[in-house]
Amino acid sequence: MEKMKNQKTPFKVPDNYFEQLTEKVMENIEIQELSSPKRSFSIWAKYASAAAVLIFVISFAAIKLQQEETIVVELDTITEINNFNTSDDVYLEPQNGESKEFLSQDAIDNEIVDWSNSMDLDDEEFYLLINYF
Amino acid sequence: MDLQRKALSKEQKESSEENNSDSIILQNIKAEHTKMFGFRILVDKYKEQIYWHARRNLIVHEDADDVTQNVFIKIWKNIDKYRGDAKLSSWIYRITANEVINFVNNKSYANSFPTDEIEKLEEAFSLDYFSGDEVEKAFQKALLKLPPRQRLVFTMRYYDETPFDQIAEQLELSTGGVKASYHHAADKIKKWIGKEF
Repeated sequence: MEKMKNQKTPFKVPDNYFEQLTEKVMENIEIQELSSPKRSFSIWAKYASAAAVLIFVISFAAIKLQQEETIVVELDTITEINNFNTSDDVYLEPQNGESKEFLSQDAIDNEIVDWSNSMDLDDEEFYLLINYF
Repeated sequence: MDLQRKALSKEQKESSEENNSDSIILQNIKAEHTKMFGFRILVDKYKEQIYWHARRNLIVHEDADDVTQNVFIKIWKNIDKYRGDAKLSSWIYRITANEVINFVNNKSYANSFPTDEIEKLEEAFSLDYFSGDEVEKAFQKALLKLPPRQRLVFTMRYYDETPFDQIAEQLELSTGGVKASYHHAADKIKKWIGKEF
């Protein structure tokens, strides 16, 4: 082994291999460089995606905030209504100034009886009339 | 003592010259307008070392050529990550060693050779690519039987006479581990060659 150690590496290379190697390597590097716009594009794509996500998050947060404000306003209104002492009669008042008479069933029946007497209706006709109402 | 001092100062001078030339290369590579120029100087400086490092481990010229080109592409892609903690040459050797190990692992050289690989190996030992005798051929075949990392350690020490601590630094191993690897490899080779002759 000592004898071999003193020898030069026993391998040979093709003629002008090392002279051509530099050019070959530099060509490969240039190919790498040409494909690098793709890389920079992908970097820009990443930035664009990140920006889009950011815009989405900000918009979502803004909408959410706005909704929360509305809920707060609505909650305030409800609280005010709850705190305002009004009698239940208020809610039974007719809306928009409309006047409406609420008659009991007995009153209706009495009116029908009065009216049937004035009309001289017999029992069968009266029965039909009272069922009609 | 004087001779020793002279030898030491010569070594220090060479090391500092190497560092200077590496720092000039790096300065050129870091500047956008001289990047290609700087890289060309780097290729010119290291191409033979990288190639022979690969060739001694892979034997076949085409394989060594592939690995050499891959190493330079890796250097180009990662040069911005080189922080200067280790010497540039150590960093480059580490990339080369990894590339050789990956190549060997992918081809499963250590265990069995596919037919086309045997043909390539025979071609590697033909007159066009090989100048050694039968003993040398047996030696190269024995080298191929070693596990990749042991082979790397052995070739670095045997051909380049790289100090064990430097091999350890370049391969990221312990110095003790490197020494053990080298001696195991040498023992195996002696045994294998002894069987043939």
